Amino acid sequence: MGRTDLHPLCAAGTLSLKQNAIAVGNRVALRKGRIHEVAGAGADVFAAIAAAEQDQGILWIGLYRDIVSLCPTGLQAYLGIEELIIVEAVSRGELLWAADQALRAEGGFCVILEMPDVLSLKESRRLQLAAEQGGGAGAHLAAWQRGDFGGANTLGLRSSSRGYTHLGMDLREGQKR
Amino acid sequence: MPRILSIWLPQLPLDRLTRHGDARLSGPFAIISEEKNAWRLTHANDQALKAGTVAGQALADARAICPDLLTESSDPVREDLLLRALWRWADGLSPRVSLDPPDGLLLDISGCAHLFGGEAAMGQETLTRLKDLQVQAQIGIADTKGGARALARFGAQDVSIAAPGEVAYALSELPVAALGLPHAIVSELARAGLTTIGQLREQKSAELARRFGLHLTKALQTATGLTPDPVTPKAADPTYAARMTLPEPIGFLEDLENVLGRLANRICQRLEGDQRGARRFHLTVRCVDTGDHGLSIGFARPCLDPEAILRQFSHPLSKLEIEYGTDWFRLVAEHIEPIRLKQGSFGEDAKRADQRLILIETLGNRLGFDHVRVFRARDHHVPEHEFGQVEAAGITPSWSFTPRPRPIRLFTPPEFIHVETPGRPPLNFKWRRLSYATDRAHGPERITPRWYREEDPRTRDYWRVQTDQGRRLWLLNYPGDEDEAWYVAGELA
Repeated sequence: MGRTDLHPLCAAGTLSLKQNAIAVGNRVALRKGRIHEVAGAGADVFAAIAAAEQDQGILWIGLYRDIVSLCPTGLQAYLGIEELIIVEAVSRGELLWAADQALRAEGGFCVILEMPDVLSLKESRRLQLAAEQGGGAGAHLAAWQRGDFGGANTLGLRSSSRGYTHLGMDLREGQKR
Repeated sequence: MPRILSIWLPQLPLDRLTRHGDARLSGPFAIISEEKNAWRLTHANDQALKAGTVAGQALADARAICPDLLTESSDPVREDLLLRALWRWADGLSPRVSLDPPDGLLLDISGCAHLFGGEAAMGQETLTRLKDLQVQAQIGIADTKGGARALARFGAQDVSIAAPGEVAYALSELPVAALGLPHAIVSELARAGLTTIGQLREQKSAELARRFGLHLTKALQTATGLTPDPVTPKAADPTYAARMTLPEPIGFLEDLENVLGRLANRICQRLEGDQRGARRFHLTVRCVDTGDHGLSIGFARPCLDPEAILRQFSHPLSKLEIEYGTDWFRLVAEHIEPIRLKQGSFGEDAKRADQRLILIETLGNRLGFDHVRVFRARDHHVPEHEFGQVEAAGITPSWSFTPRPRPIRLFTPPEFIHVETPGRPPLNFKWRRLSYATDRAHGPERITPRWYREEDPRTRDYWRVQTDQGRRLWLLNYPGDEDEAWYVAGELA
């Protein structure tokens, strides 16, 4: 099974994905030292698949309402639950601080950050710098609203009705590093 | 022959407040506790006793007798802490000291009394020292633990001594309650006309055992020395703490960190010498204007690294508001655990585990350790009970694979959907204000509830539904329910 590296500078057409779709079970890796914005209905499972590929500890950071609905008996198909640490924050500030600490930490942790709204350019750049320092990869699970994202990639993941195992994927134009 | 000194602290809860300078004790005051749904007095001070209240009285009655009575509920944890502090203090009297909770200490003073000028002098010296500590006490000295305890509690004087070999004689006039028997046995003995220990000794022990149980005869024999009952000393847990008083107040963060570094070094050296580590550290900073401030940090594993302590304290220290400086510091290591010294960060796995724990500590100290969790599998068939969340600190990560396919998001409670075109599952429905049409569906997976628990008793049917819009939902309904309602229980990958 092939591995698809989502390089920050590659355009959607250059990805070796058939019809811009990722089959669940494909190996999809996020570039390390970067934070990626992942949006859409398929964002959760995409983040889980990509995080498992990092072969590092995984932190899932979110507010209570997001964290409480995570179901490890479903996620176990995509990532090692024993590698997963869940961090429950109570405010936007705590979410950003925890993500910053986790991305900055030695060991290159993979951080999945569930934000209640979009990141500003300043916030996403600070997380990007933290990821560069720590060497980990970050996936910011975002709403569909357009924000000034200062990370590497903006990926839009939508569930496909063609089967149980496909995610449609759009790379947003005008990506920023 | 061993000689035992028993210290009874009859007013320990009141003494605790006296030592704290509680102004309420200048008037009628009592400690109360809840017993059988009623508040009762457990300890009362002299003014309250003079006013007519007695220990054991219902609070309502006591207030009727003494309307000015002030009270506070008992605090067994703090009282135990004071008792343990006195336990450590008693090391100066004898090397063999044991706790006699809730309000006493037992000292094996064999070979110690002559250092104080004899047993009577030792007893008086102990009383004097305790009085200096503002703690009231009564003392009994005898050959046995039971005898010393009985004399301390029921002796006529502050220091009651039974001469060596004469403990049985010394106890003979004391009431049977002095043996520490349950109230029911004491009442039964009283009904039988046996009120003193001397009367008990006149009875045949086999008859006493048959009628009142072996507990009575055992207590009698140990108190009178027929059965050995030695003091089992236990060294008080060492306190790993360091403090520093400065001649001038300081306020800069760098200076505070310097002081903290020195304190941490001293504690960690002691911990390392004893091959122990601490999971929590508490720093007290006394500001010249605002008094004491307490800062705490925790660790995911026993720690004895001063740098790690400094790193974790850096955030709480930076938040400390100091206007006129601080000149007194105390750092205490808590939750002490033995550690097995190992070479740190040797091998990739060990390095990763170290990094993981450091991150857990960093996050836990800011967000709270209960907010940094891992999943634990449970052996259960109900979806929401198949797993749980536990604190990540101090937990070895593990997960056992569960064979049943489940959604990656599980909604508890399930979210109601508005059915537009009925079916099983519904053909068209609205969920979160969006319309969905069912493309394919698999099911039902029928799950019966845990009938032995008080929870929703309805049987559940789960359906895996592929919608035309792409989302894969886990629909739920309760077969046999009158309203035929449908819910989204989760979202599948």
